[in-house]
Amino acid sequence: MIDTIYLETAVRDHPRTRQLLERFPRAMVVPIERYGAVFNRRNQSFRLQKSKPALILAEKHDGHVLPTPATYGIGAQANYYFSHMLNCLYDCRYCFLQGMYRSAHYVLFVNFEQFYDAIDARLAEHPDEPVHFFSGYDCDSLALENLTGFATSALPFFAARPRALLELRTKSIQTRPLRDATPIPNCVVAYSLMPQPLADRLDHRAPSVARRLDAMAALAEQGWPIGLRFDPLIAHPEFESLYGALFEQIFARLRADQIHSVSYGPMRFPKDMYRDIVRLYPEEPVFAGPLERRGKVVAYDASAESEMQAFCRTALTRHVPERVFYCAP
Amino acid sequence: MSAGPTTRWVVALESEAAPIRERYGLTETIHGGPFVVYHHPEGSHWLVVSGIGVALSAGATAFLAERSAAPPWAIWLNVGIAGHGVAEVGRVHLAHTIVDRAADRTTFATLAFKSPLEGSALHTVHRPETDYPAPVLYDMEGAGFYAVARRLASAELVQCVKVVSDNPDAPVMRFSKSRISGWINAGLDQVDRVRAALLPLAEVERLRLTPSPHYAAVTHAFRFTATQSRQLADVLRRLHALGIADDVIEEGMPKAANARALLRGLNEAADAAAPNWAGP
Repeated sequence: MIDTIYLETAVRDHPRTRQLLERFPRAMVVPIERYGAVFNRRNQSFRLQKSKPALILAEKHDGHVLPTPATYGIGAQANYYFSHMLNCLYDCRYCFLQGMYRSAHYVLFVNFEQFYDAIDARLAEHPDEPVHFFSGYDCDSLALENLTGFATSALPFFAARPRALLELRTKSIQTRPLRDATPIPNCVVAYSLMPQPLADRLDHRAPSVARRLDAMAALAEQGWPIGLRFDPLIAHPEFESLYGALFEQIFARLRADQIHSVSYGPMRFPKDMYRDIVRLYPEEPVFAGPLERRGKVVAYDASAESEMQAFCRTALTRHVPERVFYCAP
Repeated sequence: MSAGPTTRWVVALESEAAPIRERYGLTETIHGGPFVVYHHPEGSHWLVVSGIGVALSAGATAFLAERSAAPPWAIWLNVGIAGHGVAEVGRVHLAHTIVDRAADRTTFATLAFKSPLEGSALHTVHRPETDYPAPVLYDMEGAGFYAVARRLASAELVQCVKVVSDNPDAPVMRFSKSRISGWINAGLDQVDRVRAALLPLAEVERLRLTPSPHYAAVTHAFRFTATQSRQLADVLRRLHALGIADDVIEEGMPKAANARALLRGLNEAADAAAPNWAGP
């Protein structure tokens, strides 16, 4: 799975590094000083690297836990995100990571404990209120769990801090750390979903929607709070029938009381990011469709966005109360 | 410009070039510049002999790019003999780190494939290394090649492959041409495995970067400003992605009075179309 490991010399003796090096004894190990020398360099191709990403083992020195954009949230006033990992096992064509980073290599920051210290510091800044922490901003929270062990490590930490809510955002069916643990109310397992015909074209290398539903239903039955994330919504001539069928499919497996939160939002990109992604994938139909530039974003036209969102709200309120709806994080 | 996969070889010595020329059929020779260039008659392989040293290697790489009209999807390989601190003579290594010792500059090769070869750091030095202080490769050209070639193609397509010619047990000496050719020849199968691993990546780049086949015909038929040319390229990209380029161009070109009218028609067609979810 991993054939090349770039290794920051400062973390060479870190226990997580040692474990990973033992797991991939045949990998080519390349010593580096700072991951940026590999990850941020110019004139490399995210698309080409997706064919065989390397693993970069590094230390995160600062900015461990950062405020989310103002509109990003699922019910709390204080919202932060953190990225113990950059990049993702999957290759979803709409993913903003492909426009954000020059490299598709997986960066794993092995110093989890400093993330936890930073989370405690943020909690201390908000002593009397719930604080939400989003882990799936720059990676899928669970897809590389068997490599990172992050969820296994993080769950006891959050279990001891009920005021802190952790969102694990994922498309993964690798849910063993959750299945092996006792559910905690302050960890939301949030699944990203779209109708299978669209996923077939866009969610490359990700588990099928049916398999995601199986994993999600099992976690819900076990007692884990479930998040539903329909983000991005993709315009399609049969949008309503496709998404309507998806909602029926989901709520045939889940009860309303198992749902912590629901969010949805149409596909849109900052204009520079859109330009970079189209350069990477000029042949991709999803970027050739009815998109327009509106200010600093490229998006479907406003009326199409409104129609998609209105449909989702109406269709979803047949299954879950409106109080669990939020803007797309 | 070659329409298919194409490889650019940069070597220091004629004796390193000879086995490559023979293997890949580089029967054509171009004299008349600062460097001798060889190429396959169909343009699938081009090779330049740089001479020894960082500056010559950098210059020869740039010269080959210009002389061969290298497309941005070309594979660039620097192949040659090198010393090594521990490896046996004859071993073939892929450089994962390139250190320009004189400039004190370190660059990391970008590996987007499973390397079929053992990896090693490559230290480019200005005099032959006789002490072999570290377990790394020592050459006199790699850093010069890499600094230029990585500006000519995506970094994944640029690699240095070295055959070990000397080490502490068999120190550097004046090697005969036949001996050098022998080492390169013996290592060529392994070099070719690197090239083979790069071919699919180069093909992805070729398909991504090749302009629409309609672009030349349209710009030949109408006069476009620079801005309109960019707009044309963009709308053609959209039409191809939507799977309707051929029909729209065939229908729209005869009707359009000028470039602006054609662009308007093409954009309207693209805006009206839905993505072809059935796929190509």
